[in-house]
Amino acid sequence: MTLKITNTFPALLCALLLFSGCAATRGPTTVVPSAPIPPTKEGARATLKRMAEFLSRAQRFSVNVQSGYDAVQASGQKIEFGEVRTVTVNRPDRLRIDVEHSDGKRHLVLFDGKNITVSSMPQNVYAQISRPGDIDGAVRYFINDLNMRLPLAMLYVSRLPDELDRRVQSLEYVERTSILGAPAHHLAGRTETVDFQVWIAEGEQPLPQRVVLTYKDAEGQPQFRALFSDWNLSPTVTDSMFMFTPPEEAKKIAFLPQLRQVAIQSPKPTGQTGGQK
Amino acid sequence: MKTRPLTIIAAIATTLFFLTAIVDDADARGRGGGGFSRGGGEFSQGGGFSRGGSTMSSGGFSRSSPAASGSFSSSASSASSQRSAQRSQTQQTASANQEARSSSRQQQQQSMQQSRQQQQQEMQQSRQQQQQSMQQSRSQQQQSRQQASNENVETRQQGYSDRTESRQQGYSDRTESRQETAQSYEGTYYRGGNYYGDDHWDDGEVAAVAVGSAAVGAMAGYAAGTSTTAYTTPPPTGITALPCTPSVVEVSGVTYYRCSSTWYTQAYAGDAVTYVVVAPPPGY
Repeated sequence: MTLKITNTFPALLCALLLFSGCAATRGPTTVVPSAPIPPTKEGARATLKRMAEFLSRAQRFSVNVQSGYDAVQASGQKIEFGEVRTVTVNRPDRLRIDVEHSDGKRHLVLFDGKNITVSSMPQNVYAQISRPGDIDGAVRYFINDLNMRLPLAMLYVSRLPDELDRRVQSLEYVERTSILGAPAHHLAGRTETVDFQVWIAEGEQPLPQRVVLTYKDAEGQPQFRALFSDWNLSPTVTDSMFMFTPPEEAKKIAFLPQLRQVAIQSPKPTGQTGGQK
Repeated sequence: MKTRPLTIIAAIATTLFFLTAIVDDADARGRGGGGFSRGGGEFSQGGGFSRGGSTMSSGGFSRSSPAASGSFSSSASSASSQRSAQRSQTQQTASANQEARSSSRQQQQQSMQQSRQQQQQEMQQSRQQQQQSMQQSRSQQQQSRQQASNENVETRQQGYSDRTESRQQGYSDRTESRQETAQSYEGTYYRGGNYYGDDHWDDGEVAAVAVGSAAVGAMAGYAAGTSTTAYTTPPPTGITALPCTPSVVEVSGVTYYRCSSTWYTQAYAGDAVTYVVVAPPPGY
């Protein structure tokens, strides 16, 4: 059941939605009332599960992620570094992530079902490795074996519900809020090593709107924060989006573990100076 | 005439809306002391920081952080000496905070005691302090000064206990951290091709700088796309900028950079392009 909203009766609308925060005044033109979520642990659990299942079942989606993380300096001072990502997931075996770091460096991560490729500008370098399979396997391999960085990777794998089930030790419903632009449920949970908060959109598309991760065991308890925007559950995708064509004069380099693997297979070099940093 | 009811509804709705907002706000503040404090900003508003160049440190700000992983799990537990040093600092800060809180609590208690009879206050003070108190003046003004002194002594005593506890806790933490770090170093990143459990596959924190050396003989493998990974030990990590203007050589599709007698090649570490020390290419 949908409630059509027009600009003719904003006051009436405001009155009708008074107890739901009057969020529609700056939201989309159509509001889909959802079953009320009780502000309890059970409600929080149901909301998180609904989000995880919804996202993991999406055949494809794209989203922009504006994120930042604290780097705790030796002095104890926290500095935030930011980055913007555009993530395109096309299940079961296509993934593209365009990244721009706050220092201007740009990276592209591609998986086309066969190869994982990373390229970077302005260095104009790329690394590529064969890893046939699906997105889940590629993402795990990328992080676990290649020791590469892929923030919020868990949100892109189809095992998201299981991953959350296994890790979340406690979960609370904080509040319902509309300050992110649309009504959302603010949840707070704890894993063994990370405290997390997630804002999940209310309605038929329970997508994450914001995530805050606190690394409680790390020095200074740094945080990772991400704001999601422009969720699209039917993006236009083509095979070429996920395939890599090296830019002109691009140099192929290694993933660091590849170098070590080469090193341990080769005779020990002589005359190394080493130790330089 | 038709617009009049709408105007009234709008006025009522607007009023109710603001009232609701006020009530919500008050309620939120009331909840501040509960499970989810609103105190403190989430984002630093400082601004004005220099990025300090593209290197990971070299006089600038380090980008290294366990939070960079954006993972719901973390292997971070003071793995580096830098963080160990920071932990010490943090402990001191925590201890100071604790001390301050203790002091505050102490003062609050003392204030409450002041409203009671002087005899009750003296019973709560130490015998020595009580004697000092008796030796001093009987006037209320002097008693007040004595109370202040006692507060300080008690606060210092409390602070000492707190610091001792904090140190003990810190020692335990560090011991556990070292054990965890050793375990994660063996098990998390490099596990001979097997995933380290299902629970923590994405908790990778990019290893700290520990320059190693890679042989050159088979390095063309990755250039040809034939290299596969099978790790038994940690790989070397590198630097994000060379310490010189290098001479550049390309051998078998691999680009080498030479600074003095040290040879480097580029490799991805985390999402950074780094320079890693390698053996000289064939013929050099």
